[in-house]
Parts: sequence; C-alpha cells; structure tokens
Amino acid sequence: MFRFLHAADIHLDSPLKGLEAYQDAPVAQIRSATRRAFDNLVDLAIREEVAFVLLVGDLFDGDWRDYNTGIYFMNRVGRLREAGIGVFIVSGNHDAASQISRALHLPDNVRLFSHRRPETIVLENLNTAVHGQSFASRSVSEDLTRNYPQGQQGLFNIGLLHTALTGRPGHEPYAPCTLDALKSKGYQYWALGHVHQREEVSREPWIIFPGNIQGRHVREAGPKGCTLVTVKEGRVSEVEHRDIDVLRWAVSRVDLSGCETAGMCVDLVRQSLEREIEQAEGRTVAVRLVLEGATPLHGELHQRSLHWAEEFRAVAASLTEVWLEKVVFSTRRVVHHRRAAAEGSPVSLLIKTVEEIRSGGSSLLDLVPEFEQLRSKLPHELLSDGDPFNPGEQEMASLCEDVEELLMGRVLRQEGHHED
Amino acid sequence: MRIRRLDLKAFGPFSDLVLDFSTERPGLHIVYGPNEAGKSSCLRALKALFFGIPTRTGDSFLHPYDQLMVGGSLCAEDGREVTFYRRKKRKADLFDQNDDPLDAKLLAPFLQWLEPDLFDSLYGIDHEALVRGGQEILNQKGDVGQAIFAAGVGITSLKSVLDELENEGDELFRPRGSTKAINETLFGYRDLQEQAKKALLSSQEWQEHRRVLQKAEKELKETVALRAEKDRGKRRLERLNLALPYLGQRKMVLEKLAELGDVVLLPPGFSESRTKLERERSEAVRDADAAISRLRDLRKRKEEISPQLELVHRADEIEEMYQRLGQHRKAMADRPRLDGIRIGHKTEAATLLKQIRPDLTLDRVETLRSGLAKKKTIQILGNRYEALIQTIGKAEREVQKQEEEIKTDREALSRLVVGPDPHTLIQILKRVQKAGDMDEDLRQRRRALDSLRETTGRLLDQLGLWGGHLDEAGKLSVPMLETVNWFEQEIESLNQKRDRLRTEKGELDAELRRLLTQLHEIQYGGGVPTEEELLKVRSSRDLGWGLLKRQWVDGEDVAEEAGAFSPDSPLPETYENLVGLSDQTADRLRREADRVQKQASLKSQEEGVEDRRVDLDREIGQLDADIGDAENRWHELWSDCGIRPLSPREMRQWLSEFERIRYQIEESDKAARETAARERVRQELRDALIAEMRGIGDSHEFAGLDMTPVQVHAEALVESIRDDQARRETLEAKIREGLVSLKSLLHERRTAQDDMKRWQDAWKDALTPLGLDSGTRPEEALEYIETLKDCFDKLKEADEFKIRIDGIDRDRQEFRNEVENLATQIAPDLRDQEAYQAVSVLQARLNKAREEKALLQQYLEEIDTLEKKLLQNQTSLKDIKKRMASLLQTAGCEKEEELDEAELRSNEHMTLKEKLAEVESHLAKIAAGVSFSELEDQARDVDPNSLLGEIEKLSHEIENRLDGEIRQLSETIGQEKSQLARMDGTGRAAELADESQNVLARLRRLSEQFIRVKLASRILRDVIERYRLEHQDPVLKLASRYFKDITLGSFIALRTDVDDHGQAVLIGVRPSGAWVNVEGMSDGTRDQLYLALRLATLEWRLESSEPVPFTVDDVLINFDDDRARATLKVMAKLAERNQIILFTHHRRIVDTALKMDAGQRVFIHQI
Repeated sequence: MFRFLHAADIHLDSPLKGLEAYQDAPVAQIRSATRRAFDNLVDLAIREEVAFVLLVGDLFDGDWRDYNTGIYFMNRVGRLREAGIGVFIVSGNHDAASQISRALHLPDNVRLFSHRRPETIVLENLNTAVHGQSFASRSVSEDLTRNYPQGQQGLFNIGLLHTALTGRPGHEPYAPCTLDALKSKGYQYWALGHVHQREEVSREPWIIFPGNIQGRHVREAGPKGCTLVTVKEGRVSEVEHRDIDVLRWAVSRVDLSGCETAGMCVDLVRQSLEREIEQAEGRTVAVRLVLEGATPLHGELHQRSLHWAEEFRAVAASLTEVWLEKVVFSTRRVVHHRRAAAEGSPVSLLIKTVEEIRSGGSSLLDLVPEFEQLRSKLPHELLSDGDPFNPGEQEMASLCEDVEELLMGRVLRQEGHHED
Repeated sequence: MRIRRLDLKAFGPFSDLVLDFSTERPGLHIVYGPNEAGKSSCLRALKALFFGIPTRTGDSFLHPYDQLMVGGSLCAEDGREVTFYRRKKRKADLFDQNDDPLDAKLLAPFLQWLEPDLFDSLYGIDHEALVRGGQEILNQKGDVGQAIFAAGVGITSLKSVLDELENEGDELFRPRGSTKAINETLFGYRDLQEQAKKALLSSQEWQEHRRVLQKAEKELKETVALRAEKDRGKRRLERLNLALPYLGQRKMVLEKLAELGDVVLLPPGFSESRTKLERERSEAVRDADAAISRLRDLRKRKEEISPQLELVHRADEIEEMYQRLGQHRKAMADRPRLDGIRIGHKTEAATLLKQIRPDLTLDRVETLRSGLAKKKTIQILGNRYEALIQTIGKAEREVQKQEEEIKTDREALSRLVVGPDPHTLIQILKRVQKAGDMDEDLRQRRRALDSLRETTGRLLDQLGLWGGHLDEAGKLSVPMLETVNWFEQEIESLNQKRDRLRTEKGELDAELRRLLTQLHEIQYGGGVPTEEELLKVRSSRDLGWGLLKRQWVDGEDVAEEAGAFSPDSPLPETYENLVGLSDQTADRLRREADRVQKQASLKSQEEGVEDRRVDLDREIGQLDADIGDAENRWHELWSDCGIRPLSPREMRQWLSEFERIRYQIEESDKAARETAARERVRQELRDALIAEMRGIGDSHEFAGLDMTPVQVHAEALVESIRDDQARRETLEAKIREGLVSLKSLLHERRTAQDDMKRWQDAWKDALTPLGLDSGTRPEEALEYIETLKDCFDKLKEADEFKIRIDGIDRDRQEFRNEVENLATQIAPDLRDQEAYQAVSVLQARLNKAREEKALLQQYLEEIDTLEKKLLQNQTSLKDIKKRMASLLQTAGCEKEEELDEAELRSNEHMTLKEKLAEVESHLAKIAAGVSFSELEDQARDVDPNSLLGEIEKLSHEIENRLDGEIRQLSETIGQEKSQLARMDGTGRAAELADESQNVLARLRRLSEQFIRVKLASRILRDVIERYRLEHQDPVLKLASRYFKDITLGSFIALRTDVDDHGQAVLIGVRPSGAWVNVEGMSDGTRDQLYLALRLATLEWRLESSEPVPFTVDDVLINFDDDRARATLKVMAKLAERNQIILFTHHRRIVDTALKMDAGQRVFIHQI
C-alpha cells in the first residue's frame, strides 16, 4: 500500500487580482498566498508520508520573471527530498513560457519529464510506472496521448498530462485529447492538469483534474487544493480531495427582497458574510457581495453606493477574516420608474436618454471627451483586463442602470427625501 | 385619480376623524387646523395612506404602534374606486373594510405606479420647497431649461446636482492634477512598479553568481594548501633560530650540577623552622625572668593592708541610719511652720463664732453641733415659703376678679328689655317667601294680558266684515261651519252645471261654423269635368309620344311635325304637360261622384245643431234663476249677525279665523281672572303682615300695594328681635359660668391658707436646736447655719495640724535612741557624740573599709596568675630543646654550628636544577613537539648566519603573495555568497505584485466611479436641454398665464431671452412692456414664479397622464392678501381638472377662500 499526492496549476507567486486595499483589510492574510498554499502541499505530503508527489504543469506563471520564485521552489522540493519523497513533474503551457523553469537546478528526488517524447519511469519498490510528457512550447495543439505507451501489465500505471481534454470553458484548448483515448491506454490513474476547476472526469479508470491549489481571483471561487490517492494491491482504493488554499474566494449573493431598513440590510449582509466565513473553515475569505432583489432600499443603495460599500467594509472589518472584494448593487426597485414616468415628463425623458445611450452603441470615449484624458494615463494591465471605457453589452447595461439610479436619486433627493 | 375620503382612524392626535373629499368635481380642498391641531400629522397620514406608515414615526404618541391606522377611498378617472385601510406593519399592511388583507399591488395603478419620492416630487409642494425653488431660479440666473426641468420633476435645485456631479468628477481625476484620487493612485502604481523592478531577480543573474562562486571556492582551496606548506618551512627555521641560545644554556647548567656532586637536600622551609625555634627559646627565657620579679613585689604590698571588716558586715544598718538622718533634719525644719498654721485656724474659728453667737466661747461651741443636722429641713422649708406666699396672693386676686365680672354681667343683663314674640310674624313671612316675588309676577301677568288683548283686537279688525267690540265677539251668533259648507256645495254644483251647458253651446257654435264653411267650399268649388275632355287630352298626348319615339329610338328628324304639334315650346316639354293634364282630368272625373253626396250630408247636420242650441238656451236660463235664489238665501243666513257675507268658500276661512280669535279672547279672560286672584292673595298677606307688626309694637306706615317694602321691613324686624334674644341668652349663660368658677376659686384660697399654717409649725421646730426664734426668716437661718459650719471646719483643721506636730516630736526621739545604740556596738568612741554627727562619721568609716577590702582581693588574684604562668614557661623550654635535636638529625649535623654550611650546599643544588628546568621549558615551547636531541641534530645542520635571511624570504612570499590571493578569493566568495543569500527565494517581488494588483483594483473602481459621475453629468445636461426644447413653449405659455394671474397683472407674461453666455433665460414682462430678469424680481415674486412653473407643469402633465391629487402645504404664508386670493383662484380653476389639497395653519387663507366667489370648487375642512 502506498499513497501519492496529485496537484497541478500551482502558479507560484501569481498575484491575487481585484482586491483593493482598504482600512482594516486583512492585508497580511493574503500575502504570498500561492506560496503558503504550496507550503501546505509540502506539509501534507510529509504528514501523510506519501511515496511521491505529482505536479502536473503550470508551476510558474508564464510571464513571471523573478527567479526568487524558482529558488523558493527548489528549497521546498528540498524538504521533500529530506523526507524521502519523490516529485514527478510535467511542465505545462505556462512553464514552457517561463524563464524560471528553464534555469532550475532541481535536486535528485525530482524528475522532470522530457518534452520531446513520453517517458516512463518504473518504481520497482512500488510496482508502479509513471508516464508523462512535458509541453515543449507555450501552445501545444497536438494530442500528446497518441505517443504515450500502453500501460504495463502487473504494474500500477499513472499518466501525467497537462491538457484541456476536449475543451473546458475559460481554458485554452491545449493538448487536446478524448476521454476514450485516455481510457484506451490501460492506465489505473490519469493525473491531469491545466483546468483550474476541480473535476473527477472518470472513476474507471480514475481521471482527475485536481484544480489549482489557490484561487487567484473571484472567478476562482470555492475550495482549492490537491488530491490524495491511496493505492492498494495495484488498485486505487481511495481518492480524497484536500483543501490547502490559504485564502478562499466567494461570491455571496444577498437577497434584499422586502428589506426595508438599513439596519435589516446590514444584518443580512453580516449574516451572509458570517456564512462565508464558516464555509471557509478558518481561512480568510475574499468576498464579492452581490445585493439582489426588489427592495425599497434600492434607491438609497444606488445613490450612496460609496457610503454603503464603506458600511459593508466596516462590517467585514469587524469580522476580521473577510476581505470585501467588491460590492455589486444588483437590486431592483419595487416599482420601476419606467412604469411611473408619464410620457413627456422629465423623468421619462431621462430614462429615454439613458436608454438611447445604452442601445446607441457609441463608445464612452465619444460621449464624454474627457474620458480619453484618463484612459491614456491608465496602465496597460488595467485596460487589457476589461477596458472600462469600452464596456461590453452587459457592463454597459449595468453602467446605464447605475447612472440612471444615480441621477434619479440625486435629482429627487434635492427635495430632501433622503436626508442623511 | 382623486381622494374621496381620508379616514384618520388612529393616527397622530386623531381618533376616528374623517375628511370627506367626495365632491362632484375634483375641487380645491383646504384642510385648516391651527397650530397643534395636527395639520402636519394629517399631511403625513395622507402620505401614509398612499405608501404605508413609515417604520419610525412620530405619530404614535397617542395611539401605540400596533394601533395606528389610516384609511381612505381613492377614485380613478375611469370610475374605479378602492376603499382600504393601512396599519403599521412591515408587510401586508393593507386591509379592506372587513379587515381582510388586500394585495398591495391593488393601489399601484391608482398611484400611477409612482414611488414615494417621485410622488412627493411631482405632486407635492411645501413652503420650504417653494422658497428653495425661487432661490434656485435666482442661482441659475433664470436658466430656462433648468427651471422648467426642475419644475417638471418638482425638484428645485438642479444646479447643485450638476455642480455636485462635476465636483465629484474633479475630485476623482484631473488631467494635470496630482492630489486627485485617481492621479494619486496612478503615482502609487508607478512607484510600486519601480520597486518591483528592483526586487526582481533574473535567472541569468543567479546562475552567473553561482558559477563565479564555485570557481572562487576551488581556487581558494588550492592557494590555502600552498600557503600551509610554505608556512611549515618557515616555522621550522624560526624554531631553530629561537632554540639556539637555550641549547647553549642547558649544556652549561648540566656541567655545573655534575661539579657539585652529592648533596643532602634539605626540605623546603628548613631554614625558616630553625630561625623560628631559636627565637621562641630566647622569648621563653625572658618571660620567666619578668614574672619572678613581679611576684616578689605583690607579696610585699599585700602585707601592708588590713581592712575594718566589722563595719562592712553592718553596712546596711549604717546606710539606713544615714538616710533617715536626711528625713530627721527636714522634719525639724517644718515643725515651727506647721504650728503657725494651727494657731491661724483656731483664731479664725473664734472670729466666726463671735459673728453669730457673741455670747458663746469656743469651748462651748459643741452644744450647737446637733442643730447643724436640721440644715436640709430648713432649706426645704425656706424654698416652700415663697411658693406658699405666692399661691395665697394669687388665689385672693382671682376671687376678687371673678366677683367683679359677675357684677358687671348682672348690670348689663338688667339693662336688656324683654322683646316681643316674633313667632306669628315669622309664620306669615314664610308664606310670603313661599309665594315668591309676587310684585314682579303680577306686573308681568298684566303686561302679558294687555299684549294679548291688543293682539286679539288687531286680529279682529284685520278679519273685517264685522264691526263689533272684542267683548261682544264671544256672544256673536254666527252660522255653523256645516251650513256654510252646504251652501258652498249647492252654489258650486249649480255653477258647474251652468258652465258645462255654456261650454257645450260654444262647441255647437263652432260645429255650425265648420259645417257652413264646408258647404260654401262645395258650392264655390267650380265646374264638373267630362269624359270627352279626357279623351281629347289623351289622344294629343299619344301623338306627342309617337313623335318623341321616332326621334329618340329611330333617330328620325321630326322637327317639322314637332313644330306643328308644339309651336310654343320644345316637344318633350309639351309632351310632359299633356301627360300631367290627362292624369288631372282623370282624377277630377273620379272625384265628381263624392261632391253631391257630401253637400246633402252637410245640410242635414246643420239642422240638427240648430235644434240643440235652442234647448241649451232654455236650460241655461233655468239655472241662472236657481243660482240667484241660492245666493239670496245665503245672504239671509248672515243677516242676523249683521254681516254681509262673501262667497261660502271665503266665509269658511273667515269663520275659522273668527273662531281662533274667539279662543284667544277666552284665553285672555282666563288670564285676567287668575291675575285678579293672585292680587287678592297678595293683599291678604300684606294686611296680615302689617297687622302683626302693629301687634308687636311696630307702627311703620307703608304706601301703595306692593308687597316687597312690607316684606323687607318685616324681615328686618324679625332679625332685630332675634338679635336681642340671642344677646340676653349669652349674658345669662356667662353669669352662670361665673358663679361656678367663683366657688372653686374660694375653695382654692382656703386650701392655701391651711398650708401656710402647717408650714409655720414646722419652721419653729427646725429653728429651736439652733437657738433661733421662730421669727427668723429662712434666708437668715440659712446664713447662720453656713457660718456655724465654717467655724466647725476651722476647728477641725487646727486639730489636724496639732496631730502632725506631735508625730514629728516622737520620731526625733526614736532616731536618737537608735543611733546611740548602734554606736555603742561598733564605735564606742562615738557614743557620746550628737546623733547626726555620729551617723556621718560611721558612714565615712564604712566607705574606707570597703575600698581596702577590694584592693587586697586584687593582689591575691594576680599572685595566683603569675605562679601558673611560670609553670607553663618551664614546659615550653623543654619542648624547644627536643625540636632542635630533630633539626640537627635531619641535616645530618651534630652541632648547631654546622647547620649553616649544610643549608648553603642544599640551596645551590636546587638553584641549578631550577635553571635547567627553565631552559628546557623554553626549548620545549620552541620545539613544539620535536625532541631535544632532534633539535640539537637540526641545529648542527644549519648555518646560524644565513638562518634569518631564509626566514625573511619565506615570510615575504607568504604575506605578500599568498595571503593577498587568499583574501581576494575570500572576498569574492563572501560577495557571491551574500549575493546568493540575498537570492533566498524571497517573496518580496511577489508581494509587490500583489500590492500592484491592490492598487489596480482601486484604480479600476475609481475609474468606474469617474465614468459614472461624468456620464451622469453629461446625460443630465442633455436631458435638461431636450426637455427645454420639447416643453418650453407650452409650459411657458401656461406658466405665463399663471404668473400673470398670481401677480395680479404686475407682470403680464413670461418670455425667454438669451443671456451673455448664450443661455436661454426667463424674463418677466411688465404691463409697460418693460422686461425684468429674475435678479430684478423680489424674493416673493420669484417664489410665485416657481409656483407658476409648478402649476403650469402640473397642468401640462394633464395632457399626457391621469391627474393625481396635488398636496400643497402652507405655501401662501408669505403672499400678500391680494396675491394669496389670486393664487387660490387659479388653484381653484386648476382644481376643476386636478384635485388640489391645500394644508394651512392660517385662518386668513380660509377666510379669503370663503369670500371668493368660487362656486362649487373650494371646500373647507377643519381639523
């Protein structure tokens, strides 16, 4: 009987995105998140006395150039060496592009598979054969499995492959292959990488994406970790997913339907955050708060969204383990202006004008010339990750709704209906 | 939509108050309540009705939260109605009349799907909003777009919204700013990027450092090995160089030792031991000599002393005597003073006795001592004496006072006369009082009676027909009502019958005229048509038809024939006339048969009518006669009472009026009788009162008949009699009480006198033993006793001093005896001496004896010590001798003189050995493990002269070449190592990347905020401009009219103009045509301009949407009366189409509205 760990998509030192620092934000808790998650992986391997660890691609971010990351990695695999634990690595698309991975001086317990052809390493003492091939370049479009050898009789065969299978949403279709092709090799366990979402593709044989070990933005929400596999008498006897992430991402939807007072609203938000904290099992959680439902507070929330975002951050700060990533105001009016506005009234004209801009399709830069001045100063990183001046259809609709609410609120508030 | 009803079930100060707005037309409803009446609550209730009672409300001070309830009815334009109630609940707060829940959505269509804020904005205005609106128009300098837009949504301050948005945008970003949020963040981001660049470690760099380090480490290892070898060579030479002098020294010492040969080695410290022993020996001999000399001296002194020991044995007795000697001397000194005091006391006692009893001497004074025991008794009696004297005096005075009072009262009583008995008078007065104010009552009755009679008389005159007097009317015999009715019917029926016959005759006349007319018509109708005439016409018609047919159908030219046939007119016209003529002729032929027949029928009808007319004339004549007869009888009926009657119908009315008058006459008679009776009663009572008063002696005269003066007088009389009686009774009672108290006072006086007697007896008994007579006053007696007591006290003190003096004398004698006794025993030589002298000598002798005894003791002790010390000294000398022998043996000598030589040889041997050890120790250090023999071998091999040169050469190579290289390599290694150590896998660059992401997130949020704010600002400007373009003209036209009306023509219109910035602005036009911009208007006028705009947009909105009630809260308070009236008028006008609810605290507004001729348009609701 022996055990091994299967992890992928470590993306060491890849920064966390979308977290704006604010007063009382748990800054310390998010530092070096990917490293600490990897530390957890190493600790887990040692604690569980695994025979070896499989790292199936994307150890490093492709465009990350700080060699300290490589040194850190060598240091940690050194710890595994001291514990007598082997490491098998196939490189992924990111590694192929990485300067770091090329310059690594790996200790002798680590085996990096060739990118020229599939290799097989037979572990005599464990009656096990490990097959794998690394990515030769950033973009591998052929089916690598075609050259993988057939599983060896009498041995426990493990296949390592960085692949998108037949395609996974949000992931580049690298090293495509079919499930049948994998099954046809006669392996007992296929250790896959590349897809960041944990997935048990098959149990006969076992084909698993363990997902990445640490979420890096709100689109990678939920528990993250690696897979611990127990092998008995040449068969997989147990597969466990272990959460080793140090910062949990969550999208918390709060239904404010019928919520009438600010106090109630804050309570609901607090409860929701507390729920997320509970689910994160002691980790710090980065929460995107999405407020939904038809509520009389709708106007108030929209008109003073900054104030309310601050308010919710204060709630988050009071709970200490929460970082409020963003507050999305998606509530609805109990009765919409549109129905209320008489044809020809200023209100209806306002709605009409907003609607025209929404559907007009012209760039924001054309609407407000001042925008170009700002856009030219913004860093490339910001613009390349969703240019706020050229919003998509959905973003534009959301923006228009915000602006409409802002204006309705400001214009009507002048009468003193929403005194603070 | 309109509000039909607002039902304030339980809200604010209201309980079950209903405001009914259900008027035919929407109307202007003024809800008026003075301060505190709850106007504001009412306004809030209206909002609560529409949109629910707010979570936190101040309207729960009377009714608790769960009881709050408002209700109402709304009515939509299409006639749908809804009635509902609201409770204070978070959800499902809507109920119908039966308290069943209603769906909240039900109301939305009535409220035009408006949310509360928008609803308030569009359909509500209060004073504050009005003023703000006016001010804002000024702030915007009359910008038309903003003013109209603002009035359109009901908001007042658009400029501030625009400014706010612009400011917020500017706070976020300015292209050349540095302190704005986005600018700052951008700087921060660039800074982080710089830091990250610095923290970055490239893989090439790391690999290069590693390579250099490895190379340097290898070279260092080699160089260090070479250096070590060179160093070894150098060290060997250096060692030899150092060792050469020591090797020489060693050789020399070894030779000297060999010369010395065998030597007895004395143990260390031998010499010191020997010296010490010799010193001890000489000291012991010296000590022994000193002790013997001292001993001799002491023994001699001892013989010289012999103390008197007997005195020492009796030392206690001698010392006691000596002490008593002091006391003895003091007592002897006191004795004369004490005797003086004793004589003084005795003299004072004699003087005191002389004061009170000159007749007695001191030796007889004891007879009086028994009297002193009475002192207490005398004190008590003395105290009581004063009280007794006072009691007796007081009793005497009170008796006298009481007797005086009784005497005075009796005199007063005797002066009071006994008055008459008022009983009967009171009885009569009671009856008078019971009858009330009879005078006034009678006056009123008389007035009423006169008035009644006058009225009745006037009525009778008005009735007419009868000229008799009022009093006779009662007896007048008029016909019965039934008789009158019968006549009425009879004459009526005769008249009716005659009228009917006359009508019939009229009709017959008309019938006859008709018949005659018809006959004449027939007779004057003209000739009769013939058959031949018809035939001729028809053949001519057919001929014409033939021609026409030929012309139209066959197309023949028939002009000639046609000219012959119809010379005067065209052929078709002639043919048409011929067709008509033939038809006419045929018709007349057909009608001819009826005419003859009709004429005959008319004739016979005429005859019948004539006959009926004759009969009717006869019947009418008969009826005229009958009616005349009936009228004669009617007049006859009334002739008895001298009345000329009118028609029976009129007379029936007359009769009923007459009966009413007669009833009134009867009533007045009855009242007159009652009045007379009451007057009689008054007279009787008055007489009785006067008679009774006379009976008891009051002879006052009264004029007239009125009761009041008599009654008042009688009441006063009774009062006076009663007063006298009361006074008498009071006096009598007082005298009775006086007598009783006098009796008791007399008793008290007697008791006091008895007490005095008893006291005098006791007094006498107490004074006798003192030898005083009973006439002595208490204070004198007390003073006597005091003096006597002092006398006894002085005598007592004198006696005490006598006893002390006797005691002193006794002690002196005792002392003398004892001293003499002692002296006899131990110092007979002193026996005859004075006692105190003997004692002093004895004491001196005792002291001397004691000193001598102590000295002797000291000598003895010292002698003993010295003897013991001599003994010890001899023992020490023996021991020293033994030890010296032992030393000689150790040194191998026989005599003490040989010891010096032995010590000298031993010391030299040891010095040489030490020298050898020292040299070899140096050599061993230099040799560093190499044996001495090997060292000597090496020394033989080198040339001492070239040695230093070789060493120098090696040193130079090591220090100048090899060490430099090593240092350089070590430095390289250190640098590389520290470089690599710096590359320890730190996460600094990654942390900076994380921080950069934080900043990027902030930048994104701020940018998005900037976009929202700027876009909003842009849209709002667009909307304002668009709204102005679309609505400026109609709204301005309406507003112009409102403004004119409200300002009472002070302005006649509103116009737009363009200001210096090209902005459209509002302008008011004066009747003179002058233009006034908004800055030129007064505050109040601008408020009115804003109101005009609001009302105009409200009216304009009616064009496109359903009306919604407009709530107006006290906006007129700053308007003068005229403009307020004008405003109410325009509101009332607008209210014909859109319900307006105006809340006000001001009665003035209500009054103004009431005075307005507004028809069914203005309604007041008071709360």
